[in-house]
Amino acid sequence: MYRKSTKQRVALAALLAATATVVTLDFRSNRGGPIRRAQDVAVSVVAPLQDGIGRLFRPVGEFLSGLASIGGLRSEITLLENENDRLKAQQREFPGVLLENERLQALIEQKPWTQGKTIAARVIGVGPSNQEWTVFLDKGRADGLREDMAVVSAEGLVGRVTLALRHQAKVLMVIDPEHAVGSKLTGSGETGVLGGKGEDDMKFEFIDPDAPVKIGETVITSGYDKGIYPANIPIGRITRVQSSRDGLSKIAHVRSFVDFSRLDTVLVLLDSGPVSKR
Amino acid sequence: MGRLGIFVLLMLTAALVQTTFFARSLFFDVTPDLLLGVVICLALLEGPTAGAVAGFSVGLLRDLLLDSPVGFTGLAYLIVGYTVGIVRPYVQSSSVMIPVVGIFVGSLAGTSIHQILLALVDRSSIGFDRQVRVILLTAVFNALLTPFLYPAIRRLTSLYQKEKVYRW
Repeated sequence: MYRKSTKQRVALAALLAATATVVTLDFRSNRGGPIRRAQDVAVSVVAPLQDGIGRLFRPVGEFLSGLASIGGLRSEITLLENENDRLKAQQREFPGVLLENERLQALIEQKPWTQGKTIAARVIGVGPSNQEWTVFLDKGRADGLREDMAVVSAEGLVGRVTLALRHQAKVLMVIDPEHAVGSKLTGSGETGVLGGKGEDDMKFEFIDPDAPVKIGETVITSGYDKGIYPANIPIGRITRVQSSRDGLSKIAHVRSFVDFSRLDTVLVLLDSGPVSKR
Repeated sequence: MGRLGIFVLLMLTAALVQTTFFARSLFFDVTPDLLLGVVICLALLEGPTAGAVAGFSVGLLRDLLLDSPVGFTGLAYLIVGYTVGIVRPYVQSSSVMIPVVGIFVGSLAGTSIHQILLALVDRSSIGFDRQVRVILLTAVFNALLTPFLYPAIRRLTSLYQKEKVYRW
């Protein structure tokens, strides 16, 4: 029959002691020290492999998740058909728009939020967790990336760098529940804080509960939050507005412009981040 | 290849498959926890010490790849690995359902312990209803993976324990 040996107890005690050490080290050393170096090693071993395998597996994974969302696809088809008609109508106005565009290009070069020093990075992996919305990029400290730099895509705000390793970096996405960003409405200029809700739409909490809000209005960064994000980066569109029963607060649901499940190439704004760290 | 080599390879493969193929929101916004599944399989096959060591190292790797407080997944998986290894010999059955049930219950416990630990240090970032969904669905998904996972790991571990005699 089975009997607990001394060796086994010693092993268990050693492991528990190791856990306590690791936890303490992590809590004490904020972004530095041995834990950080271990992270560097772990990510630099896993990330390149991830990149390779990711390319092989991504179509399979997308197919499987596509199967799971087949019900939603039907309504999406109708939506796309409608959009197609709309776009066809728009296309007829195209020559006029082209002229206007040329005029506007003189005013703003490309996307206004990708101005300044930037570096393009590829998403090589997804954080392995059910409670963090993070991605790994194929650029790191060696390429000039630092913690708290803003990350954008052609559609809008993606998130910020939370861990810059030598050749990889981790990005906390705006939809992560830990993420909050000072933002404002393009129409009224009303400000508030936009927090992530994971797979659900983001939540925009207004400073002023009487603020006028329109469905479909665009939300952009306000640039007020300690300077992590530059102002005027588009984030998303308001889908629903909710007032609390006592009328003391107002919350809008915001859908991001960025499709986070299909994120591929992003831009890191090298000029962004808290002033003290530049 | 020695025992350590096989184990490191297994751990890396699991971590890679987890972060690529099982990237999040595959089904119902929850992904299976392959790493925890591997820990429980090893604990079932190798006993409490191997389970505890596997749990600690796999959990630590997971924490290092994540930003969450380092060591918490390690502790949760360590407890599960050790307990599964301790309990297994007392279950007088050789049914094929043993690994399935073991992985289901172990995953349920592992994910719950991790969530509780995170909540204790106020680092839990998801709501209660989602926590429950994550805990339940992770266990179900892991149990469904057992028919693929358990035989594969049993074959791997048999590579270095041919001469070992089972007595339970």
